[in-house]
Amino acid sequence: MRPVAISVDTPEVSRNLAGKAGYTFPILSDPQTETIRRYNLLHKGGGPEHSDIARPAEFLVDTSGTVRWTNFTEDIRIRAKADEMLAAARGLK
Amino acid sequence: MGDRGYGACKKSWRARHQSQSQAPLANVKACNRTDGPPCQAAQQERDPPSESARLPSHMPELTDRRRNWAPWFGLLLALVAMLSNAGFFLGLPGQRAIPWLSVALAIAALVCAAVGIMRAFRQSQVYGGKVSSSILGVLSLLICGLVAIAAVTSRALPSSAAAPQVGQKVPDFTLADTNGNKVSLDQLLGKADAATKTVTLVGPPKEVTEKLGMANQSSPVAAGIATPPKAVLLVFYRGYW
Repeated sequence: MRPVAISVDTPEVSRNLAGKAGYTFPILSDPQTETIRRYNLLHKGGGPEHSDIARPAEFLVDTSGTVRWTNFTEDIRIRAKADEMLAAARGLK
Repeated sequence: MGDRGYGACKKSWRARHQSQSQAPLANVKACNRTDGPPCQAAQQERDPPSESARLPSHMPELTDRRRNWAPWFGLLLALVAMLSNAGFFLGLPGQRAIPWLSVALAIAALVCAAVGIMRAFRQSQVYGGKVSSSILGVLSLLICGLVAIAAVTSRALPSSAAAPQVGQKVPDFTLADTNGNKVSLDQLLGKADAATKTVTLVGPPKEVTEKLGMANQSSPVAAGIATPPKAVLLVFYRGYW
């Protein structure tokens, strides 16, 4: 399974994050929220200074592009744990 | 002494007792005079009050009042409610229960603070601490207010009903990675490029590879050598790091 992170942060900001945290997975930038809107995950005015951001969500997508597992948290403080994601990934054939 | 001596003695005794009994009357008469001593002072002279009679009988001694612990307990509960949010950052199990636990603790804190204030003001004969209970009550209210604001804003998320659900196809996209390269969903899924017959691996940013001493993995790789992943986990996050 390959994790891919997506947010409104620019490549420069994401590069700093990856450098500090040591992330090796791809971090993609969607500053205009085009992909975020296509996935219906827009949180209008939810960011600092009422900027548009993405609401937290995770999708496990197989090689055919089909969603096999999702997680839509109701509280931004609660995130899906890695073991839950791995368990869903192991269920894929 | 004889009868004359007995009579003189009796007369002197009577005179002596009459003067003593008339003393209070004399004092009362003195009170009625405008230039006389105050009646209360005269009363005290005649009958000095005892220690226990200085205070009204229905009023207990000040030292008998109980310590008002309820406001302190309320503040403690409010602090615990606020600090319970640290469980999210510590990765403790049962995180889904923390929001409700913090709200329950905040409500309990406000109840204790209210009980403490009511005891201090309505039962002042039994409990003390009017000032301290008021201050502690305000502090507890402020802390619980912060807990409530955090709970409300954390759950103020838009509905995800229109987002891709299990069994549905996800929309394709092409976005820039940290190195500025355009990356598509097909590339992430490891699908071969029909034109070049190559599979491009999307690697970590340059800062990470340099820091970890890794080789740059973002170069194109011939088809068949690279192993495509079984699945891709798309993680949408709020950003603004």
